[in-house]
Amino acid sequence: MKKFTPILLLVLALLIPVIFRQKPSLVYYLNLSMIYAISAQGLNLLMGIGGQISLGHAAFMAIGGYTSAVLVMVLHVPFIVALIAGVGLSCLFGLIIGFPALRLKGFYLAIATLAMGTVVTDIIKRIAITGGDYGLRNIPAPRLFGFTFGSSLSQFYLILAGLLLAIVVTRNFIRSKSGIALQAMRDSETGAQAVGINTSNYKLLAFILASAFAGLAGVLYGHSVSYLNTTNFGLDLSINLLAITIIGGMGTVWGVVLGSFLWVFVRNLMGSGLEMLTGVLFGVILLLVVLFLPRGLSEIGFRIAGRFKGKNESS
Amino acid sequence: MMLELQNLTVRFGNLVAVNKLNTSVSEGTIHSLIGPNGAGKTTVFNAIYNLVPYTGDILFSGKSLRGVPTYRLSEMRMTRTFQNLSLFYSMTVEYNIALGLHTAIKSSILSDIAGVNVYSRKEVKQRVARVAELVGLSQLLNAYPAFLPYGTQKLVELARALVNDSKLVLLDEPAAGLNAGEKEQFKEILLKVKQGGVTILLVEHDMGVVMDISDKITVMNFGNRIAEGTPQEISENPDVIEAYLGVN
Repeated sequence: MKKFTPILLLVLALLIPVIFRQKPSLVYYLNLSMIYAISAQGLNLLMGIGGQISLGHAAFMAIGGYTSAVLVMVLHVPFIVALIAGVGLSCLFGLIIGFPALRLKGFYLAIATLAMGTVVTDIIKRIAITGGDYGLRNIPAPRLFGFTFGSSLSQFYLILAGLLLAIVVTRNFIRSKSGIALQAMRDSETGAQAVGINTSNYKLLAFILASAFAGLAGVLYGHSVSYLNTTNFGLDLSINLLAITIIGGMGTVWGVVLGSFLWVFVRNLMGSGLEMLTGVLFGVILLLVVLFLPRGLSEIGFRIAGRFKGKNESS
Repeated sequence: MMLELQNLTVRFGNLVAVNKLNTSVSEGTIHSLIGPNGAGKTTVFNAIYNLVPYTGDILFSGKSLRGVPTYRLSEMRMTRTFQNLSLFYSMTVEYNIALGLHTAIKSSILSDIAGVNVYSRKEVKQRVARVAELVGLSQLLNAYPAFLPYGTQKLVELARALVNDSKLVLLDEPAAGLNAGEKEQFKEILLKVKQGGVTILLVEHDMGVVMDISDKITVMNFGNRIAEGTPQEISENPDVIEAYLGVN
C-alpha cells in the first residue's frame, strides 16, 4: 500500500483542478500553496536537515521572481532561460549569504539573514527596471515549448511539476551522503568534523539548495500571479515560511507541503467576516503544534502509521 | 613515530595552558596523558585538532599538522572521541558508526540528487558490523543512542572512531561516568584495539584504567610535562605523587 501512496496522491492532485474547474479562485489558492511549499521545502533543507536558520528566505524568492520577470519583460528572453537564470542568481546569493553563516550561529545568524533579506528587497526596490515601489505588473504567463500557461488551471500543472521536482530532490537529498552529512552536522558539529565532514562546505551547500528552491518558487510566483512587489517578500513572508516549515514538521518532506496548504487556506478562505482572525488562528495553530507536536503536523501521520504497524505486527 | 609533539605551546592570553611540551607516541601503543584538572591535557588534543592556536610543531606519521583543518584528520586516519559525547542523536547506532566512513566513501552530486544511500552499501555494512562486534554493539545497531546507557554511548563513539581503520585514536576521558563493570569492559576493548595495530593516545583521570593498559604515560601539571615513563615508573615518581596528592 505504501508503495502506491505517492501514485494515488499524484492522480488525486492531477484531478483536483478538473474537479474544481468551476472555482478558479480555489485553483489559484492551490497554486499559491504549492509555490510556498516549494519555497518552504528549501527552508526545510536548511533548517530541518542542516540545522541552520534563515529569516530572509523570502528575499531569495524575490531574487528569482524579479530576475525572471525582468529578463522576460525587458530582454524578451524565453521563459525557460529566465527560469534557469532566476534560480541561478538566487543560488549565487545563497552562496554569498552562506559565507557569514560559516562564522555565525543561532540568534546571530538569524539577525544576519534578516538583514540580508531587508537589504536585498531594498536594493530591488531602488532599481528602476524593477518598477520601484509600484512593482512589476503584467508579467507574462509562463510559456514552455510553444504552450502558454495562461490560466490558473494550466498553471496548476506547471507548478505541480515544480513541487514534485522539489519533493523528489529533497527526499533523495535527505537520503544521500551529503544529506546525511548535513543531518550529522545538525546533531553535532564537533562530531561531524571529527568524522571528516567539511562543515563549511555543507553549510554553503544547504544555503545554495535552499535559495534554489526559493528562487524557483519566486519565478513561478511572478509569472503566475503576474505581479511582483518587494512588500510581498519582506520579513512577514520569511516568518510565515518559517511557520509553515515548523507547523508541517521540520525535516519532513510531506509535512511542509501540508503546512503550506494550511497556511494559504487559513489566510485566504476564512470568509464571513473572520478574515481579521486569520493571523490569530494561524498563531494559535503554531503554538499548539510547538507545544504538542514537536515534529509538526506530520507527527500525526507518523502516529497513525505507527498504530497501523503495531496492529499489523500484533495480528 | 606515530605522533610527535615538539615544543608544543598553547597560550590563552597570559595563561600558558601547555608549555613547551615534548613527547612522542610510538606506533601500536597506548600512550596516556594524565594530570590534575587544568593540567592542559584536553588542550593538547585541541591543538592536535587545530582547534586552538599553538607554537611548536605536531607531527603525525612524520608530517606536520600545522594548518591542517580538523575535518582532514579523519581522511589521514586520525580520529578522536570527546569528553562530552558528540553523537548524532537523530540517527541509529549503525549510522553513527557508518558516518566514521564519511571520507572513505565517494559520492557525486548526481548520486546525491538520485538519492543513493552510500551507507547502505554491502562493504559499509560489513565494516560497521566488524567494528560493532569488536566493541560489543552488534545487537544494538538499530537502536538510537539517546536510549542507551552512558557507557554504551561511549562505545558508539569509540566504534565510530575506529571504523575507518584509524592509525591513531585520541580518547578524551573515555572511562568518565562508567561503572566498574563498564570500565573493565572498556579496558578489554582498548587492549583488543591495540592488538589490532591501532595507536591510542588516552587522556584519562581513572588511574586504574591508565595503569592497567598504558605502555607509556606522560604526566602534566600546569601545562608542563613533569614526568614520563612506564606505569611502574610513574607510580613511583615523587613529582607525580606531589602533583596528585600535594605531598612529598
